[in-house]
Amino acid sequence: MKIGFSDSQKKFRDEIRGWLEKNVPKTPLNSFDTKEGFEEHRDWEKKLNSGNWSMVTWPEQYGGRGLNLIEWLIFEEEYYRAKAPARVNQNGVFLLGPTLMEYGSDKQKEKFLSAMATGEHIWSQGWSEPGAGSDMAAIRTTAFKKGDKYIINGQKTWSSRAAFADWTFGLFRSDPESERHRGLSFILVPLDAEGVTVRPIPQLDGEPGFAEIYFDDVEVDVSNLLGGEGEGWSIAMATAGFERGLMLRSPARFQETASKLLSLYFKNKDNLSGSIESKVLQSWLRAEAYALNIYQTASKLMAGKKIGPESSLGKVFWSELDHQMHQTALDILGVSSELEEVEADDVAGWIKGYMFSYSGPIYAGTNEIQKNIIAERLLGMPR
Amino acid sequence: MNFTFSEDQEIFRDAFKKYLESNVTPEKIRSGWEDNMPFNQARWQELEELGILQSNLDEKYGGLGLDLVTTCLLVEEMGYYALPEPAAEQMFLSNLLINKSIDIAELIEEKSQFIGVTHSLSPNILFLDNSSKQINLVEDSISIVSSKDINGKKLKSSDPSRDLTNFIFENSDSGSLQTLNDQKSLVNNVATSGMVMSAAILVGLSRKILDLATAYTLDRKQFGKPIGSFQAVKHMLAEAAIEIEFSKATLYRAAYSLENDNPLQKLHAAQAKLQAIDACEMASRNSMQAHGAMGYTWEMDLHIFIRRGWSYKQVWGNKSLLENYIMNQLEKDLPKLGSTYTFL
Repeated sequence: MKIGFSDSQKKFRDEIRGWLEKNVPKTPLNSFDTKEGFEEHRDWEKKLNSGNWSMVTWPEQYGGRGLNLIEWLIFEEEYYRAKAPARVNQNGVFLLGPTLMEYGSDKQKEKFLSAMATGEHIWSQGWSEPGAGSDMAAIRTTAFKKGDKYIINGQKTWSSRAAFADWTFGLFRSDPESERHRGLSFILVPLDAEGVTVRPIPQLDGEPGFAEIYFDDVEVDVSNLLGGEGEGWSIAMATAGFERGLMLRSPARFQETASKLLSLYFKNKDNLSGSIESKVLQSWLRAEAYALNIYQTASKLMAGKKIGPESSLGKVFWSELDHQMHQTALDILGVSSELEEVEADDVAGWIKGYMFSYSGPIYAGTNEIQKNIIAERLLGMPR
Repeated sequence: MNFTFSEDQEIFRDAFKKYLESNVTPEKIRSGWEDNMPFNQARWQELEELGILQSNLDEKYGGLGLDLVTTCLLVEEMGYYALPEPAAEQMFLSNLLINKSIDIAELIEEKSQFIGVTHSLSPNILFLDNSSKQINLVEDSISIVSSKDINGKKLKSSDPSRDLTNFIFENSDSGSLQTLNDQKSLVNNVATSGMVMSAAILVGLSRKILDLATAYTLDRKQFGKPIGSFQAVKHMLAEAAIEIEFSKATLYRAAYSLENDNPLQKLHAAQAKLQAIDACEMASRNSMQAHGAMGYTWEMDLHIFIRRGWSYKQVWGNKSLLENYIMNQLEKDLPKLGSTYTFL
């Protein structure tokens, strides 16, 4: 055990810090869930890519920097420290990208990876359907093969970023006779294809962060099938693992929120009760505990160990923490906490984050599903 | 950055676990309770022969010079098996004092005998009858006295594995009292070490308490199936598993900081203890619930472990004290908070 950063890790930190200080926009971009903001964020992805910072964990052969997990955590810490824009293409860079590298053909990698890295293709996710939420194996949207095309019919929903994105990836039923998780295929679909209708769904903050996607005899070339036909479920499980696991939820985000909460607390301390104090303290403690756990997990992975259902532990932990932190901030702000446009004490940021924090325990597999996984697969309790 | 244990550390831990598995069973603990002698002299001897008691003692005193991270792993297992003898205290408190102070080392002739250590964070004497010397830490002074010169009253603990006496020093003719002054940093260091020790015990206890509950819910049937198949029960135990998972890395970092004399070691220890308290509370409460009425009986072994948690949550830093300490630290360090300072 050696806890602390090496000289080369410190040097790397300085390098990314320097680049971000020079390049992060001085005024925050508009939300990426607005048309204008989406394009601003696409430009930011392009900018990141110009410095070779857009997909740092990708191997060098795919244009990345091949960073190991510890370096990636450092990158994320600096990214949040610099208050750099949110990643509009996280579905692509962190979910589809690694999946493509593992399951994609050379042609697919060539076609999609660099367009993803430059922000030319922004990706949305297409998992859930009206009848398939937590029970994803109940998927009914079909993609039947006809010649060298798949003909897609049906409906996806809660598709993050789909309102303005260029492509979607998801699971479709390719075998008409199949049931449950058999006979599903992982297919990439351009959202400008004929027969695709995207209906944006405004979220709690009023912005269309997700959308319904209707498929009406949409023709997609068979070359857009990822992996083998009918192998979609196991590929999707690998993708879900990336999502629940390390890649999307670096601890920096929660640690920065916890520090911001502490500052807010100390500024207003004289008027606050003990229960607020203990929640503030607990927020900081738990954000640190999360970070330490992730560093330990990253070290284990780098030493060649695997993680499986353990990632469910973290998903419940960070999503509950994020909600508690925002709830506590609003309790400190009191009567001004409802004023969405007030910039003092970043009321606007807290209320937006508070709304978003309600979604954490739901997306990427609800916390109830995660607890089932923990009980059944880690504790060995019966199904 | 390498936050993993070495193969040697894991081998040592696993070997010790094997010993505990067969030698510290609930039956043996109960028989110590029934005889009113929770401290088993024969087992203490075994722990000495195995090299556990002196493991982290400096080599010049006949120890193995083991680091405190490995020591922490061993103590976590002592928690898991609810070892009644104060081996954790010997390692994290008296061995540390001997290692760090030549003056103390010279005053303790028999280093494998149990040396009790008291402090305002843990003021009652543990196993007075089995200790040769008592070391009392007060702010900036350290007093060492022969145990036979203590004349306190026995106190009954809610954990029958803890034999407690209050500290009354009888200034006898033998005049065994020796006092060292200007020891503030060492006293502080031992208090920090006590926090890490009690946190390690709590993490071990929490794991055991959860294991007992999952085993019980597989076994116990209602409505024609194991109660562990019901989501309400699964979720309770999953929540405990989450708390336990997120107490571990904080604990190991605290042990590492203590070993390496990190300037923030006390903050790290306090964090570890608070996380461990949360984990143990959640594990105790939910595991008891999963056991139903059986959990509330003397017959079920569950309470052997839960009781131990009640004590170790309070000694060597309780919630209120730790929270106040951390909050004061954070207010002072406000400019240095945030993710880029985690490993400062």
